[in-house]
Amino acid sequence: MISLKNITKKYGDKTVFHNFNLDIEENEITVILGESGSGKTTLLNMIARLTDFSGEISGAGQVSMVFQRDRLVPHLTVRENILLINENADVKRMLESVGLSKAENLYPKELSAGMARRVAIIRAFSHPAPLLLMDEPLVNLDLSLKFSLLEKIKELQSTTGKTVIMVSHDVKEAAYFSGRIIVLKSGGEVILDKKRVSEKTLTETLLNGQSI
Amino acid sequence: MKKQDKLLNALLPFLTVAVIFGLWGLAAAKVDSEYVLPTVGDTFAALWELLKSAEFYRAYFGTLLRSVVAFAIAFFLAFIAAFVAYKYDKAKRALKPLIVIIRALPTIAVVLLLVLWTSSFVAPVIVTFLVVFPTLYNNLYAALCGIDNDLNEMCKVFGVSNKKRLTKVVFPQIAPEFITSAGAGLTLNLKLMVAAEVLAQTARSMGYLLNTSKIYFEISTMLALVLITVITGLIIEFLFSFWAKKAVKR
Repeated sequence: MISLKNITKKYGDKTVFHNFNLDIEENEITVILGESGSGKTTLLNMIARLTDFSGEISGAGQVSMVFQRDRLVPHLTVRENILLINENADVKRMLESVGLSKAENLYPKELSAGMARRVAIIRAFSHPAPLLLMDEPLVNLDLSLKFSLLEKIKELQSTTGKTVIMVSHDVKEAAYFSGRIIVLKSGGEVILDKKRVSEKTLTETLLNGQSI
Repeated sequence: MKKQDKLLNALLPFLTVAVIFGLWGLAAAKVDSEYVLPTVGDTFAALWELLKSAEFYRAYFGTLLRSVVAFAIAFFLAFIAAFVAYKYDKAKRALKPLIVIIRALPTIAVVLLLVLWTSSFVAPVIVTFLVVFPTLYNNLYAALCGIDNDLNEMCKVFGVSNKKRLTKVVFPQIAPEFITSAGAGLTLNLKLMVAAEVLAQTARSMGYLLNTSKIYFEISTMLALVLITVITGLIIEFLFSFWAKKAVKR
């Protein structure tokens, strides 16, 4: 179990989280949904220890992450980018699994947006950390690619058994996983925390901005 | 790019050099005095004579060695200063007036003072250091500021070791800027070194040969020495820009 206890985070005078508490089950996908400014990315950054905060996070340990921007090293090939974070990764097999078998020796600038996203996702899955954080991993991708990658994320999660925390502002994406969904409101308030929530309910929750 | 364009691009630098030599030839013919402007032929004859004398090589390599030493010291200290300024804002603020003062120093006056205070061998080294250091500091600081912090964060999240982060992520990002700065700095260094040696009358130096040629009115030898300095500078810049391109495979 990953536990966030009494988390308070401020940017200057703005309080993003105040005495925030959350428990996340291991070995499943948890989607955190919310509008811009609700603190979704900050939450992931706190778990990844990329930003300071007061309070306690336990059970997180070493993490891997898919960032909003791909953050592939531009002067390293796809293969070298994956080996940078895990020297023992089976790069060929992993690339094959996402239809990128011919991209092994390409540089990031030679990849399309969709290809770069796939590389960023398998790079994160190739890392041995049991907890994977995904910060809007499918933003700006076309619909068909988005859903094929959602399917791939589900498949990789179930084969690796990793705990995945995915942040999104897309109700379709969130509903697709049919797992636990947490909806955050500005100020770090949880207005929904349920499993298997329909797209309609999620939309209404976000529109009303109130707990249901 | 079309084949014709490629050929033209390759030929353009040679055409420019040919135009310069053409204008020089025309001006020399017009002036018609070897004591004012020798012909291109006379200059190359003087160059050939220089290349046959042991004294020239002693002077040439003496100047080159002093340039490299001054440059190495300037590069090392500029890197340390740039790194400290990059890491600590207070250090950057403290260094700023120092850099401005060093940059504003009148070069010729400083050479004359340094000759009094030190020796004719050391003075040119200090002067070239003082001129090159601020430029190198600014270039290296800009290169360090260009390091992508997102990639540093990525390395931190994935637990990439510091050694791997520096060698595979950070250095390749800053290497092209560092190498280009080094090439430009070394060329500037060489030019300044020759000028400072003329003023300081450093023995066994290009500056000394220039001074002697001036005293004996050997203008073709003076131009040959200028030509050698220019060619050496061009070779240095070419080698460093080639290295910079090789350093990153982006």
